[in-house]
Amino acid sequence: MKKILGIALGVVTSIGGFLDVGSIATSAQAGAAFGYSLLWAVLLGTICVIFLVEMSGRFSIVSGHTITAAVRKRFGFAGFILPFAAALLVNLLVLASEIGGVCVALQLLTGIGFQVWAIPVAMALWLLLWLATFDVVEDGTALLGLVTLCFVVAVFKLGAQPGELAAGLVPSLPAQERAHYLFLAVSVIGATIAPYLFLFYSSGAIEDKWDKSWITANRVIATSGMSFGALIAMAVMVVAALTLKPQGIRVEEYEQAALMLVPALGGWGFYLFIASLAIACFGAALELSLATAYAAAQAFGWNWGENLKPRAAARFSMTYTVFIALSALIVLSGLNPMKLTLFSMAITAVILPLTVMPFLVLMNDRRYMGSHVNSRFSNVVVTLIVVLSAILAIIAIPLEIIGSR
Amino acid sequence: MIRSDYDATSHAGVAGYPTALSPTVRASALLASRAMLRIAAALILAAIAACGDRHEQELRSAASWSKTALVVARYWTEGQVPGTYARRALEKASQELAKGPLPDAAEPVDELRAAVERGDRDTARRLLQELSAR
Repeated sequence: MKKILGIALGVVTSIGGFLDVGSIATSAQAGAAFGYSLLWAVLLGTICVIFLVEMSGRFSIVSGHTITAAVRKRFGFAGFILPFAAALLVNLLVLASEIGGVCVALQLLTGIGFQVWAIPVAMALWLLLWLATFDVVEDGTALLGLVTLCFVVAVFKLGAQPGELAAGLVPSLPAQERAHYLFLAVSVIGATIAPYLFLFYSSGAIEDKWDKSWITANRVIATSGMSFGALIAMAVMVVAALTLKPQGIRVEEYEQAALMLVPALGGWGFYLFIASLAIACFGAALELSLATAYAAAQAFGWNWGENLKPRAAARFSMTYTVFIALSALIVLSGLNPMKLTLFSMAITAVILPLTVMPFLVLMNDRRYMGSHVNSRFSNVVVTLIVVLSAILAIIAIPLEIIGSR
Repeated sequence: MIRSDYDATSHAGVAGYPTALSPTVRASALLASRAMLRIAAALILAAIAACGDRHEQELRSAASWSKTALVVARYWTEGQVPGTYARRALEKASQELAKGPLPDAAEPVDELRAAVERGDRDTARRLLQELSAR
């Protein structure tokens, strides 16, 4: 019974915690510009992230190690430092985007500029991490994140045509704006396959003391949670396609995205968008700060754990403190939060092979995984998606920069 | 033993590193360089297309901000969005339009913003009707 409750909570928190600033920004922009035609990118990213999250849980259960610690041990410092540095840099940009997302939500609500909110939001984030336990951080924010289901409700109220939705799941190239389409495709994929997601999940499995009896539960949580979570990201794209595209509104700023739920949900739609943006970004910022502190602590052999008092894991706590402060500085610098988010997501796609391939090597190492090594099928699927996304990103980012200058 | 791919008598470069290549290696290198040239050409064409898209993109962006202003003002007159948001969104729309290819379009948006600032829904409705009729 306890395990069933655990699985249910895991699935619900995966759904509530799926959406973040990247998913909202990229899906809204894609839907408003290209209708349903980028739904395939969410699907592709979701297939990959289901495999990766399941693998990361299985790895921690079977080996008793976290991914970062094992990569460091298996490849040595020289082989570890480049993927680690790349992941840290991207995490910093994404955390700034998440904090920026919360600040923009507050700006939309109050009319006070987003930069003014950077320090209060960063302080709230830090205080919660300092005081709360892992369960509060993971479950509390993810349960609040269920507010994002309003996008799914809106899809039903607006009445999307299933045939047209299905057509969007097949990759296609538009006649115009191909460079921008490609850039959005990689940004959507980068937002869906966020490396911090599976690094956090792997550390969470250790924090929650999962043993081998959790292998099936892990599979159920990864598959159901990520699939239903992805449905919300798809719902954002569909709502933008149904409400903003017909009016000729493209999403270049959050002020435009904030209009998308109004046709379906009236005045509540505006406030539900703000609540979704604020909660989803705050929840993701908490997870991202922890994931980065976990990675640093596990890499250098420091004490770590959100359930420990900060005094007992001083360097771990210091890492997320510094990381949050740096991200707040990026927001304070006044960089456009929407552009920062889109580029962070595209860069995430570029570095995916660096973060995922060492992990795949571990998943095929019998010294760690015994009889639970990866199947050839999962290796091929993940490798293909990750490498393809990185190649597309390397092509799309310069084209987007050239086109937007 | 020297591999048959290499011509051991023509080492002109760094000692121990053959510089003459066998026909197979040469053909592979030629094919690879042609493939690279094609990829580079495709990328250059895509970059040119991206540059060409820029003006269209600016026009699309201006049209989008113009529509955004109308929709924001309409939702505000219907009481669907708060005044603080509407004011800020219209200000943003005006700024974006002023720096784009249709700077004249910023003027009516400024009038809408002024109506929102005064809380004057009647004027905003009238302006919206006039703009829709254009």
